[in-house]
Amino acid sequence: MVGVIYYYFIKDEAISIYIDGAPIKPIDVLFTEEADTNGNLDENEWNGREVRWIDRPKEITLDAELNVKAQIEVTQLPHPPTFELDERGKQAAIRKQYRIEAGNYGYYVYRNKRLINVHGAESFGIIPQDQDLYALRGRILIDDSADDAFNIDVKKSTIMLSDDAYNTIDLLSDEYKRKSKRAWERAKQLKHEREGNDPNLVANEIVADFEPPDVLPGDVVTPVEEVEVSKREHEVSEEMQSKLRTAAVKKKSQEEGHDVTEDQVDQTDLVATLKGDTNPAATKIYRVNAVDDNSLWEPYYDAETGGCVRINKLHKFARQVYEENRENTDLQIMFELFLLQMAEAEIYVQKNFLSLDRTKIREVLGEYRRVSSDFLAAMCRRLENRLPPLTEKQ
Amino acid sequence: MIFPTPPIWTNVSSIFDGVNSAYIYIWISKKYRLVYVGQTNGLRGTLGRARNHIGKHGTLRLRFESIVGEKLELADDLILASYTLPRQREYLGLESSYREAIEYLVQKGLVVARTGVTPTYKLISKVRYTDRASDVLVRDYAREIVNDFKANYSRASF
Repeated sequence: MVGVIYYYFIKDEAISIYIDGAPIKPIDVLFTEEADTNGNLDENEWNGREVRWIDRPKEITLDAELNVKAQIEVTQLPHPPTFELDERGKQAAIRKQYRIEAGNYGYYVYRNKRLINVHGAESFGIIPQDQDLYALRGRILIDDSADDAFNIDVKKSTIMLSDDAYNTIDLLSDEYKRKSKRAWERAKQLKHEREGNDPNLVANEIVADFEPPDVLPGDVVTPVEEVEVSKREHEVSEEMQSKLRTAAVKKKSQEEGHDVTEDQVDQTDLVATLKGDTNPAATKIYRVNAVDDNSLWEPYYDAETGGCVRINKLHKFARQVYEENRENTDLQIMFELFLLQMAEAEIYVQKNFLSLDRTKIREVLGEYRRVSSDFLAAMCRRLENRLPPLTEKQ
Repeated sequence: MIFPTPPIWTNVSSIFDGVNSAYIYIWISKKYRLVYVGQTNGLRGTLGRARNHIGKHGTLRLRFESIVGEKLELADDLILASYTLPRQREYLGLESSYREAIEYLVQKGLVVARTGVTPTYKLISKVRYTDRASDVLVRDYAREIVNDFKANYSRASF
């Protein structure tokens, strides 16, 4: 801990500290050198193995009235359980190497380059007790001009934030906590996939060999009508592939920071756009970050893949299922199977309801999907505290 | 001079149009050094939202009065900046994650920006982070709003 408390003195001022004759090494609790090498955290793609920046060092005003400035920086440390898949016992070694345990996550506050709280991290009542935040590490550098804003008692090593300082750190922390937690969950999910416990993969496996009926009982199709059905099927497929290509161009342009043309988009780009960060083994049900109109789901169809569904995992209702009911994998599987059939039904109706113009059917179904999605979002917002998991709320 | 207070000319434009527009809005009082950030997709735009805010239980009123310790009516230098959001369903619909994401990023941007403006200010609104804040277009849009605020704040006056 001495190496943490006097990190800056040992590192920058070249001061040497010895305990029982042994030199104390400076310990950077944020492991910023590794973060510099690995770059910024993308919580949707992090593999759980690398230290990454959540927020690079920046100066902020913590208290406007007292004109108190500080430097704040935040990193994400590795996800130790991920390493257990490499080698038994490695998880414990990673925890030790990066000091990942209860009480060590939160903010390390350095006043005049010395850690104030010799016991470690501060939560300020802002960072809750949550195992999914074990990898979150923040550092706040202040000088003695902040003593009033932080109500610092150096002897007692206590800190109490002014209202403005609290609100500022609370605001910034919201993003840090969310990104850290999502990244940790992403690492957990990848581990589950490798262990064969991923509900999305299970749902995909269940329906891998299932195709809904071509024609439902009562929906008689004459040979002449079959030609029209085939034509509509082709039109649906062409429309969806065209829409996918447009989306892939937009995605690639955003990623590369310049306009990209359609011929610069290849099959890998198309698949990445279609499937998002879903496990590549998924063939019909994809969890993606966004769909048109911010609906909860949308169908995809082409002759090769058949009917698929893209589920907007950031939609309020999807988050209620995937995040609030994280442990309920059966619920998630049934939810995904249900939406896949909803998507297949849209394609079926477009193809087979020959008495109506196909593009009109597409528009009406799209509107129905959008309105349903908005109603579900409104319900989640208003009834948030009454939705499952109910056992926790009773 | 026969007026109890000088006449007040207010530029309203069409900020009451919430039919096809959603907004990010920023309330500013330089006298009290306070800034409040909000979002709305209400039918009456930011003007309609303003009506809620100044009401007895309006959030702006409650926050202002709890922090300043005086009635909101004493803030006689209030400025309201309204920014229309992209006219797309993601921003206009009931599902508010896109609007909330921009609202969060703008608030965060203003917290960082206050280091370099005069007079500095306190943010009195409370917003929560949403995952949409990682979206490139959302970040771009929020950055534009913050840049506009920075460009105009110091010289804006009631």
